Amino acid sequence: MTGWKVPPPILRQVVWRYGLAVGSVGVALAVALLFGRGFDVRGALFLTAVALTAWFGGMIPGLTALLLSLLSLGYFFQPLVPYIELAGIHVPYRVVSLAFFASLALIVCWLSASRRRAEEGLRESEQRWRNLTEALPQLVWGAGPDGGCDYFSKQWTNYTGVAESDLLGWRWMDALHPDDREPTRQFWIESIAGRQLYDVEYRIRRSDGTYGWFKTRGTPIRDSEGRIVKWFGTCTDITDRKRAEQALKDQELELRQARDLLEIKVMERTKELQRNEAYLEEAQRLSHTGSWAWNVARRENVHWSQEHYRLFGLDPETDSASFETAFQRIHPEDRATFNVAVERAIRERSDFEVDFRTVLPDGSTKYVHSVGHPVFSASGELVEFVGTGMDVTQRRQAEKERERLRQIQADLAHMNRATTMGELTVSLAHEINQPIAAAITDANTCLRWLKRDQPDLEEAREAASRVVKDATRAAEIVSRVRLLFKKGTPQRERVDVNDVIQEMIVLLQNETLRYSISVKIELTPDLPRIMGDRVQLQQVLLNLMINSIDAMRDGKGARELTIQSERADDDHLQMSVSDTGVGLPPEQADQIFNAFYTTKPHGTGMGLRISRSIVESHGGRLWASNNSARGASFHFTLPINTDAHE
Amino acid sequence: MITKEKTKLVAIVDDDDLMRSALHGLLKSVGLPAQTFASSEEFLNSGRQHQTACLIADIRMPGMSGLELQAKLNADHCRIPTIFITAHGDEKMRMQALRAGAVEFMAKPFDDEALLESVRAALMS
Repeated sequence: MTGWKVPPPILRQVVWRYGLAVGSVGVALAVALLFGRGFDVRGALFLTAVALTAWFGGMIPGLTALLLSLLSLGYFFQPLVPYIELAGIHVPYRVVSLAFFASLALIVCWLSASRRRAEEGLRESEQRWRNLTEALPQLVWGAGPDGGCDYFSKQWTNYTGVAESDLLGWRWMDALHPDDREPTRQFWIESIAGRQLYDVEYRIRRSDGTYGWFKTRGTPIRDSEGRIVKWFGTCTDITDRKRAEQALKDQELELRQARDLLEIKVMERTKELQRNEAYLEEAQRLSHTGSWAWNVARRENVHWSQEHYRLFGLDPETDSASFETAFQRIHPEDRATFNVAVERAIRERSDFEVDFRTVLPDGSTKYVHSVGHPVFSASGELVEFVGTGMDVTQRRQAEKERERLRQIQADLAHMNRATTMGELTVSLAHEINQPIAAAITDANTCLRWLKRDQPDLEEAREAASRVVKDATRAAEIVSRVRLLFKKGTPQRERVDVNDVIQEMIVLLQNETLRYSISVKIELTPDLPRIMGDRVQLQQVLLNLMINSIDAMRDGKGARELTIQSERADDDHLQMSVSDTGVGLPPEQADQIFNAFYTTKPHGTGMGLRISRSIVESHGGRLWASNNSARGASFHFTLPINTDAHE
Repeated sequence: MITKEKTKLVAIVDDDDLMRSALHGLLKSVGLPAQTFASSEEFLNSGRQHQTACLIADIRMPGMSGLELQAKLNADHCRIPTIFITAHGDEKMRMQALRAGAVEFMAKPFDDEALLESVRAALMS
């Protein structure tokens, strides 16, 4: 119960208290002397009674005690003297002494009572104070000007579990969180020095060991000189607030993190979208396909992909994609077709498809194949067309190229035939020579018969007819050969391979004779006809047979040219041309089919290459192998197209 | 000189039928009997070589060539004056033929008078 009192101004108090002592005793002495020597204790006794009553009982009981004392004194006790002289008047001693006692007792009574009242008031005040501090949720404390605490409200003990006596002075710091002790101490020291207001937050350890945050404010009480004489303060539990603050901070952090994450995600997504867009653009670029959208009502383009710009030779960055601009780029000859297609698609509310050329500013042309779908609104109105435009220039060009290539191939084959035939010219010349020489001889013979003195017309006629026969033979040879010279586009007809083989054997009979090559024919009879170009097949056989002849012509030993035909399987015929010549170079069995491969000094090297391409264009295969004994064999297959009728 | 009664036979050996008939016709027009053979083998097998006073032969033939025939006849000591007529002919062949005893070596087409000259010359010897 210490510490809550406010000490009054010190010096005045001292003067007053000790002055009172001296004064009151002085007065008492003076009065006692007036009443004579020998002091009287009876009055003191009753006074004490009154004083006690007034102190403990209060004012009214004190007065009651006074009355009773008076009665007692008056009844039981005799005055010392009957009379006393007071300024010439005889006053009964009893009255005077009782009156005197009464006044004295009154004073005592009053003093005691008021003292008591004061005490009580103080106690009440203290109780009120106590009630207040204990009713407050805050923890209340008080400290002296030196900083040592001298009061802690009951809340302190309730909270910390520590008794007030163990908190006094500076020991209350032990109840704080270790991390907060030093900072608080520093702050407190600054405050009690008067340099700052005391406003701190620290953690106090609860009785269960956990810590709670408290906001502490201390108010200094100053004396009339302004010096701090006392501190009063409160600690408010802000744990919840702190927790809320922390939660808020955490939330804020979380939100910020979430926001950052979201930002990252959005960025990633945007990048992904951009990447996809780039892929789409790339795909369109690679496939030379652009996308477009066209509004029907406004007759205007609403979307053009980058590639679509390029189809018209426009720059996606700088040029506009208006319908008019695009239209101007369409080849003048194709504009009508284009318009017709557009109008039809609108009228019939159907798919749009058209081919046209675009003319670029540099003069080049692109072939464009454009297709589109109609798009309807919810109410069924035709809103727009959406579609793609494909650059088919390359395809067209490829087709043209293929045509050219086919023609070149035919030309090349012809050239090969011519060259081959060139090789045969010598033997051809010889072959034709025979009938021509015979014709000359027969004609001369005819003349001889006619030049006689007696012309023998019969003999002459015979000779002349022999001439005709000879010339006819010559013509046959020429016509047989001329067929091979004929340059034409590839023809397809039903061909009997055995016939062709026979023809070629006849054609080359001069060669085989010249080089003393015996020709063996092993043809399977009644083979089905194949679908092919007769001239080209003749060329293949010619080529193979000439190669075989060449392989044998300078060699020793037997010279045999064998030609076979047979049915390889249900779908193919197989022909073989074999010789007993020098054979194929090792490990190069397939290289011989390469262009420009030749072992002949004046060979073109194209023969086998062209033969293979002819066979393959018929759907067959051409290959070569060495014979086990001597020489090489060339085989080729041709498919029998069983679907076509003979 | 033993004069044997030799039939002045001219033998024609050529695989080309038109050539055979042309030569036969030509010789007939000058009154020279000729016999034709389609191949060297046919000629040899006929046995007529010994009666042949002159041989007109082609070089390139299936089977035995003209030069081979000449060699064979020489080997058999059957020397017949031979005139070669051929569509194929080069200098080497010509030399070879002449060295082997050929009377003449002609290319087709030939001059008929030249041929007849050579035949007459061959028959004289």
